[in-house]
Amino acid sequence: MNVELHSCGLISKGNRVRLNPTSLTVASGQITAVIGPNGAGKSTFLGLISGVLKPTHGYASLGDHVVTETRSQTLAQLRAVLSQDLAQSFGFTVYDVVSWARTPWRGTEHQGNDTQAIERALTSVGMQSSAERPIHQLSGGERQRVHLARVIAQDSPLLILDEPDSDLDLVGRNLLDSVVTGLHESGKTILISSHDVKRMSHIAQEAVVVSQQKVIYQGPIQQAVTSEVISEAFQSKIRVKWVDKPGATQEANITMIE
Amino acid sequence: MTISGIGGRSASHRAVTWSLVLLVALVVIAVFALYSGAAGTDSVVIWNIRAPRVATAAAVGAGLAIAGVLLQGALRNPLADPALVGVSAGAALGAVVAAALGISYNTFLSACIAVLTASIAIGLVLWVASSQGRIEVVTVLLGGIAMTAFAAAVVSVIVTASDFAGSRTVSFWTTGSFALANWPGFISMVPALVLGTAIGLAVARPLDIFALGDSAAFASGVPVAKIRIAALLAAVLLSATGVAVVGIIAFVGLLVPHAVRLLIGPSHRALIIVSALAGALVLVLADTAARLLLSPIELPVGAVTAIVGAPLFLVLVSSTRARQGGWA
Repeated sequence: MNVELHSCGLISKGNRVRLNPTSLTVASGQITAVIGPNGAGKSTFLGLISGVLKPTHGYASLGDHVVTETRSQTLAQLRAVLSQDLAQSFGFTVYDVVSWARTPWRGTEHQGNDTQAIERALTSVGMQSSAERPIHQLSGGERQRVHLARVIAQDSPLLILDEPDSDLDLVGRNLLDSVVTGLHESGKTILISSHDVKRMSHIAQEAVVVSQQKVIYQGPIQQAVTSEVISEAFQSKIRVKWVDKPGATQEANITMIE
Repeated sequence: MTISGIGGRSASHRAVTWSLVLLVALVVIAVFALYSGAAGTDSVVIWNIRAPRVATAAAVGAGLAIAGVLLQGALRNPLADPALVGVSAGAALGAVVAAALGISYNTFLSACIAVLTASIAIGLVLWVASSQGRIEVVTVLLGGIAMTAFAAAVVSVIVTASDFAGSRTVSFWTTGSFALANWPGFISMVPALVLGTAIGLAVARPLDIFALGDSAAFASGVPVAKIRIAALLAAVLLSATGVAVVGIIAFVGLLVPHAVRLLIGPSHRALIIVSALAGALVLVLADTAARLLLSPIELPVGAVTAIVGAPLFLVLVSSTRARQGGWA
């Protein structure tokens, strides 16, 4: 499925630019890291693709579907979203919350897979033994894992993860990275935003760099995460050095100069 | 390995158990109400006066309670209630205006006009309370206060200035009473109650998912705006028709859903069914108390519910505030 922006941007009332119109194609079947400083427009970029935000310029498309003209159920069969602004869901159990991800498959042949998809997703984030706990009794990190399980259970070809690591500790981040890598291996297209450029350089193949409401770079991550591009994105002097990691992978070491 | 639904099953077991308990209690109280009162146990009194009154109290209570569930779920506002968001006052205004235009009380047409004006009332309140696609919890209540003050003032002007009001005085509308309940009045409510309950049950599961917040619910495939409008329309159908017949009874729609949520959890399908029974029980009980406590003097039923309900409302405000750490 092709994920594309066609001169797509959002300039809200009062001429406040949230993302300048951009055209690009997200690499299918790859992990694309969305990198940039706070307030650069990362969430807006992801929101325009997911359909949570409506563009004022151009349009976004998922395969043959123009995002804003697609029914919410169809859209949810194509993409799952993990956003930052989740409400408390007071009183519902972990299992209830994950089961909501199966909404788009109601009345389709895939509905029969509901139980299996929910159990697999809970197991993949290590929350299977907490299925019956009320979600408001969990810690922030545990809750984040439940919501990760929720978007996995939705079983769509595209996953949009907006700072999924924000509430996670070291162990949680490692779990997240291995879950995301596993989803990539099963053929999913993944868009993931994060402040942790070093970790992204390790798990992602592609990058979109956003700075000051503009996409300033898109392409393979080795060429995005360079001293020049990262310095420009963060408006600071930053040195990037790629180093070999055990297991024939590389990651970027990032240092602020001064 | 299976990890499905242990909590889900026990929650639905609890819902079934409480439904049965409430149903039995409702039948017992209803029978007691039919056979007690100053006028004795003459069968004409029982079937032509007390029976429609009990049936009306049960129907209004069920309607208000379901309307409260739907408003609280659709607006994600724990303090929503038909009387607090302006729906009830809008409905009362409709019924009074309809009467001024020559449409009799306790008729289907009167109920329809109440639904129309109540829809306009909540539409205006939500229009005022919406900001950048978000509906603010407190602004809804402030808008409801203004709407209620305005509609109640117009009701009192029309009722005072005209001669069609009869026994439906200003205080009939503002505190509610079952004293004028009759079979035609009960029947005028039935179509809206059935339709409103059906819509409510149809949107129950999407309303559960509203607990994630609007954008995450949308991302999960829920057509958020459509479901919200359907739930609000159902809430209007369920409460406005009752107001047109018996006036404004506050706090039932607010407190019954909260009490039921403590018993059976937050799932809307079960909440609608159990709250309907609990709401019916509460109003039949309140009306029987209003009739019998100082017999032969009859208390206004809205006063009985407010005396019990208002202090509980304060407890609810304080506990919600503590849990949320403030208002959004």
